[in-house]
Amino acid sequence: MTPPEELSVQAGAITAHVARAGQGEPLVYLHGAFGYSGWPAFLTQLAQSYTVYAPVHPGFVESDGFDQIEDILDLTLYHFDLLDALGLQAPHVVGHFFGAMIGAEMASIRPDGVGKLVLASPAGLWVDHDPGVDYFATPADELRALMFHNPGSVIAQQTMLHPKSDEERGLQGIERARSLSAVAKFLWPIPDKGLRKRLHRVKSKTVIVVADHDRIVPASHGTEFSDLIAGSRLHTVEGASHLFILERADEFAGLVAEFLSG
Amino acid sequence: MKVSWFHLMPYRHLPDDFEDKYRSVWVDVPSHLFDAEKAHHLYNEYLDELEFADQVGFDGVCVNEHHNNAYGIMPSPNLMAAMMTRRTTNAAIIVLGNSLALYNPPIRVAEEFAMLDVASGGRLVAGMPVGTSMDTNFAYGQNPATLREKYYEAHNLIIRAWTEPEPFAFNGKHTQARYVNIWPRPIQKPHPPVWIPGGGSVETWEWTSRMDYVYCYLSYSGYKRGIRVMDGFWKEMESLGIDDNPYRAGFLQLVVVSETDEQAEIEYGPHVDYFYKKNLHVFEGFADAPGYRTVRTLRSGVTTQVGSAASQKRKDLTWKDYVDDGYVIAGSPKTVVENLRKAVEGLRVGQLMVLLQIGSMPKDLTMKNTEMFATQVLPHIRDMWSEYDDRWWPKPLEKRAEVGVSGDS
Repeated sequence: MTPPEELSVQAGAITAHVARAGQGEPLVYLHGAFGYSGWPAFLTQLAQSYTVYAPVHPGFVESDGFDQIEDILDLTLYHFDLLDALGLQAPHVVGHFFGAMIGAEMASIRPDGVGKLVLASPAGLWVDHDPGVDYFATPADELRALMFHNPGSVIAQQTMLHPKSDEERGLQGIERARSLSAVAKFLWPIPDKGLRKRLHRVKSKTVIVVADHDRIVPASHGTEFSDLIAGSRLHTVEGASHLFILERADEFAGLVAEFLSG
Repeated sequence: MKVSWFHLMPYRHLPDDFEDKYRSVWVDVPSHLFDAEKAHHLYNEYLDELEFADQVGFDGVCVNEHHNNAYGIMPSPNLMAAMMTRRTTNAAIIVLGNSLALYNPPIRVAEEFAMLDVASGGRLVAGMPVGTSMDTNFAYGQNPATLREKYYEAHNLIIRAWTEPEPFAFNGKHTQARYVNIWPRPIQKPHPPVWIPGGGSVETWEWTSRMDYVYCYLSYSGYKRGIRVMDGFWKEMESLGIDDNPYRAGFLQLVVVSETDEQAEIEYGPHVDYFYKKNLHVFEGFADAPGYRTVRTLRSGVTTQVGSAASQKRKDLTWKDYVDDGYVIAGSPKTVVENLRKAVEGLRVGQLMVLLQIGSMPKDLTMKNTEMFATQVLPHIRDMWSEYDDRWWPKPLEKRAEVGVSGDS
């Protein structure tokens, strides 16, 4: 594949950075809060059949307008502004974690604005008896073990690098503070901002994909999502953790491709 | 110079193996470790100590706000301050302070501070910290991404509530009120002195100086490290074109006084150790929620005082380290006077706060420390900075109400 094209588009107050690759029907990928940087391998596979757009969430990079996105409604409307700026109408949306929550909000608030919907380890529901770990309070050097099923694997090591110096540790700390605080703005202190009462509005054909060992979004959350979205499918990846989309890229890509073409 | 007696009100009955057995003294410190009967005695002995500080001539008494913790069992410093308005006579009542973003609406702070100022006859210093990440983000659920803007908005509302002559409407992002009109209003005009406790961020320095408030660096790493931070503060003042009046700045220092240097170690050593190893044992994950510190502050390399790196650093500290590195100024009155003068000169602070009850220190020892400090140290440091004017000290009424019913002493 040729490397993805880097686009800058103006969506409301935000200058959005979007990577684009492939051809076919449009598909928007909304990334999560961890291991989000770069162009993940599963997108390369999807780009064989779809034009894949992968925006960077506002706040994850220096961005002037982010202070004007204050709540879930602002965030959701921003994403529709972004679709307009990209000239997309009702694209398929694939989201992971925070990005999946945004996808679910978009499909709830404007049911005709999203094509098919893939929610991988979606954030957005609080389950009292199974809340998952407090990722906001997880020290940086414990993250890899929390995110990956096999933290010693090449992909895990590459995604979350061991800092080689104090300076590198400091830079990683700044990066982590910036990205996680952008997510915290919408998920702190409990990731329940009313999505539960909106999900019945979703009309998109939806698949929810969770991992049985995900400690960030426990698999039980997938069941709740699936109960709340009429006609949705639930798929559980066995022997996998939160970043299964990276660790089990082929399997995830295959699953998404099959769902979208079905 | 002004010298004030600062109480953290630590829980001083933690088990010996606390720091090995539990991950944090803050946020999720196990509730079963709290003994309410013991705490009843703690509150009363701690208030006695503060009242004693007033009696023996300290310029001020300080209390502060923390939540979910055994570091300082004072979620509401205003309650403690309220008790002191009637049980102290001369000391300034320094509430350092109320974490503004935790009050909804923050009009509550304007009201309670006004009540304290009126009840005390104008002795209040109104401290306005952002609050630690443990307190604000984790214990009180405030969003780290918006905590600071909420804090600044609350500050603006409070100052307006104190100073605007008529009722007004406030259309803020975090607070909206059609009628802001507090009763009572403070005695001190235009409002009580405002002191801002901070952890060394440049943004806070800029803002504090622009507002003409006192900046207080509350550090437990002692005056030697404090001097490096305060050097930065004074350089920043210079670059902003602000004068170098030492009363613009406050600093908190741990001090223990005894008959001899050796005696100080024997008497106070275990309590200082308790403070650093138990009271400051904070789980790294709670030290600094994402977004609590701005990217600019992170880039400036100011490190947090709590969390695993800080705990690790303190783990093997001995008495000698505490003393040599300036964490604690300790020893005979002569040693303490000498080091304290050096510290105050180096820091260039006019508002000195001293922590004389430290960690597990019991009442009799705290009283001894306080009395020795008052009689044998205080007279020898008071003269410092006398050539400067302290514009940031309360201005109480000259004629204040008699306290107590007739015949009560």
